Amino acid sequence: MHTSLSHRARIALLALGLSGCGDAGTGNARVHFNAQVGGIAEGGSNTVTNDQGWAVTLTEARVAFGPLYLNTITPLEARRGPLERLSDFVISPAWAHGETHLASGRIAAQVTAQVVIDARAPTLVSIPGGGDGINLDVESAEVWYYNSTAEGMNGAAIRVRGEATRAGVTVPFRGALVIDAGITGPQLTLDQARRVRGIPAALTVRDGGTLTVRISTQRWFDGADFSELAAQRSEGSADPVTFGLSDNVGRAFLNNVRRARDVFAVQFTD
Amino acid sequence: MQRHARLGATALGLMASFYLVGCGDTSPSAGDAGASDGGATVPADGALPERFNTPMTPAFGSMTNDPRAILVTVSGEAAATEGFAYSATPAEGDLVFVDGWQVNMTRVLTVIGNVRLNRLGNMPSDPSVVGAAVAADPRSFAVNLTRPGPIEGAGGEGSAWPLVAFRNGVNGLTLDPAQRYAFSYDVIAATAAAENVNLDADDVALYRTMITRGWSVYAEGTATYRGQAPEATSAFASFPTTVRWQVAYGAPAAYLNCNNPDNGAEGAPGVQPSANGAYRAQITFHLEHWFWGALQVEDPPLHFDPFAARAAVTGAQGEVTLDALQGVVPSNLQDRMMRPLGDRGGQTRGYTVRNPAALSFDTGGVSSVRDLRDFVAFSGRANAHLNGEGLCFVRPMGELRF
Repeated sequence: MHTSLSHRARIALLALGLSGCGDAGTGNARVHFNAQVGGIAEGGSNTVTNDQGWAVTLTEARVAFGPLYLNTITPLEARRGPLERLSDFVISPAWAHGETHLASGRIAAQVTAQVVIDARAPTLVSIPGGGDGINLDVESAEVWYYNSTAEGMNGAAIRVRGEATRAGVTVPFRGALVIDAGITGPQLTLDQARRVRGIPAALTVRDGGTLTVRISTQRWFDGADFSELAAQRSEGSADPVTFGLSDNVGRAFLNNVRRARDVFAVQFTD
Repeated sequence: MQRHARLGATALGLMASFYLVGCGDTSPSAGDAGASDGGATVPADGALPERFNTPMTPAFGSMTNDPRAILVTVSGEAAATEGFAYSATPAEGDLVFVDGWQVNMTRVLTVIGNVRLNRLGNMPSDPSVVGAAVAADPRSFAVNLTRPGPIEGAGGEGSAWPLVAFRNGVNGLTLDPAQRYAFSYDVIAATAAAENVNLDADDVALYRTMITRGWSVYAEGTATYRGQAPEATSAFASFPTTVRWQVAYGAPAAYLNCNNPDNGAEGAPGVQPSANGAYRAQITFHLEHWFWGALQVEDPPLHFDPFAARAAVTGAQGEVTLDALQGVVPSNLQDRMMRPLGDRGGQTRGYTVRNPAALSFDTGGVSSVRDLRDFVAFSGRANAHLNGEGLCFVRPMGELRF
């Protein structure tokens, strides 16, 4: 299932004040490439224990993926080497490139169609139409969330269902990311809620190659304390509790699905 | 405290010391690497040389106006000296805490190094790229931003302290009034090699602590609750109404190729000398960043309740440091009793509460912010600008340290 977003994508590029792919005459070649997206890496687990001690197992994780843009701007946060990761044990690891001043940069390539995938599965889904652009070195990717009317999405950009367990307490839950005015607030505009910018993606697209994106659900519930949902359950009910912005699980989810690192992995192969 | 567009700053006068490095055709990143320590060995125990007890001779005065000179100052704007007053009906542009707090600063120490000019970069899509080095001062400067300075602040906003005067470029060449130069600097961890700009004896004692802890910032102040009285049964009723707060961390970073509000509405990067007098370039710190409720956006609403909620309380008095914010999840803010922190931000005009039962902060896609302590330091690292509102490209030079 896919939806063309080309019109919206063009509007988006105009909004960024970027010329898109018009530099073929200055030494860069126009290219067309394949694009595919999948969920968890081969052999990965759909159960993860978050930093609050809850073991979260997803039984559903549908993501409406696309559009995606490749940008010359540096990633929001740098990759850290083994020594830096080792130092996490003794000092806090917050370290970013760009920080609040991530500039607009320049879009070099784009994938404008949308497909719905099961992020619990490693299966790679081909994105109709692939991508196009110029073979300029890029440093980062942008993913924009749009709601989907595809089967099973019911107007959401992400739908999840699962259960969380800690100390003998199990909480079945479900929830969604729906991009609409309901998630905006004094600290978050609709555009900010939609865009995930500065995803590490140091690559150069080439004609006939393949862009592969993997979506990881491992950090989606970092910081979420499901005991708040447990308190909402009717005694004896097996129905899942629906999380939302009125509880901390929904707010953590809204933050975490927009992480520039840890959620999306982007690579290009010739 | 209000933000204004910058008015042109001119001054008359003379004299200053300066240091020049670099040469014509270096790589695009020349002049960007590393914080300066003046070549001195930095003691780990916070020991300071005798000379540090006396503030340096100012690089220039308020009347200095040498043609073609770039005079660099530093300021925390009016917020540093006057704080943030509370008003339920703030005027347009006023910075107020939406949850009813008045916040004052009593001390804000920080360290600036490696102030430099480069040729403008040739990659408009990558603002971190600058051209060949033109001039640089390898010294570092320890400054207390809460002390009123001898020079008018950019845009008439507060006051400023003189740091560096660039009167020539490499090899003694004069700076070209027909050129704009990329303006960059670093904020570095406290070092014994720094020049003392305006620190008194109490500041110096704290500066020693900054050295031993690897901090680049030490700030403290008082917050006083001026909003509506909370209901007696609400969690807010247990919060202190006066809080001594402290924010201290190490967040070394390079601030590159700063935009400049003086360059028209677009605020294009760079500073441009004038053939008719000196040009002022003010390194500006926006001290409200520590109290922002969102990352990756400019000027989100200011909140102090997340600090007050974690304060150690004696009667109506509270004390809070960043340590008390450790482990607090930004999307699940809680008080010391582990109760959800409500949002009472609707006390000022122009703020709409999303959920009165639960205030939460937006991490804006940042992965490495684990708790509220990280959040405050991460937000604070982006608080250094040029001439008021000019944003710089921020390139961290080390991990956050607490």
